Amino acid sequence: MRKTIMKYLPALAGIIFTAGWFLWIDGHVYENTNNKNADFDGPHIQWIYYLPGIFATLGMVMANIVDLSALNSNSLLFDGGATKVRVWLFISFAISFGCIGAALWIMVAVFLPPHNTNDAAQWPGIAITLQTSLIFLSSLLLVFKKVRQDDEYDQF
Amino acid sequence: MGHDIKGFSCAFAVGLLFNILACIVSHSGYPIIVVASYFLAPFPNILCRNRDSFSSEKGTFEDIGLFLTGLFITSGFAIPMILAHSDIISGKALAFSMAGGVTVYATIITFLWFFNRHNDEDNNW
Repeated sequence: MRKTIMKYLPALAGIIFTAGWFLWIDGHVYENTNNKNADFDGPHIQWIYYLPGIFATLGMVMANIVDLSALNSNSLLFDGGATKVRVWLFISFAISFGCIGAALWIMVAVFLPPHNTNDAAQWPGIAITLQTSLIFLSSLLLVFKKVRQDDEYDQF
Repeated sequence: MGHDIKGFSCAFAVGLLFNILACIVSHSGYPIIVVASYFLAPFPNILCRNRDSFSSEKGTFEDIGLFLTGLFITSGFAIPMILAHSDIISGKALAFSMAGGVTVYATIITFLWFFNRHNDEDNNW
């Protein structure tokens, strides 16, 4: 059972990742549809609001292109690249957390009161925060899968 | 063997029919977009599966295939939801589209599992 769950974790990560991106797409479609109505007074989405999602995806890719088995190196002299892997993972997760922070910033500064008094127009801001959070969650699932896989590999 | 394939074909056709009904009910062509994800969904799994049981590969390629499969499956359900949320299609059309998605993906998963089992049985001899 645990082996089956571990095997299909990438599919779950893919589902979560896609759900995140489609939440943001839904926010943009929602904003675009409602702002066609002259009575609907809400913030407009800029192209720059796509950057948190794009860089969060970049952070996810960065975290998953390194060989994590290097972290298991026990050599006293030659660390097998463990330090480089740690620095790379640090940068990857820093990018991901930065994207979540940027999404929160956009939500608070543009879509929440007092900047936006239309309650119905808050959804795109909530969607962008959910997007970056879900992308980061799928990144963690993929890294977790690789870590456990490497551990199982070392047992032989 | 022939009867099995006929059953899968009928189920797939019923799933497509639900999406066509969704287009008719909402007087819009948008729900037919998800048909593309129906046809694309099986390919990552087929292309990326590691068929060599003696390979020492840790399965990164297979993981990518599973990831993309999850991506396509979610697309099939997310696109009708987005359209319904913005009132581009009606709730009735959304229901038809969801039914079509469940039918088609269940058919695909059963198909892959069924013929994988046959391959495994063949390998046992």
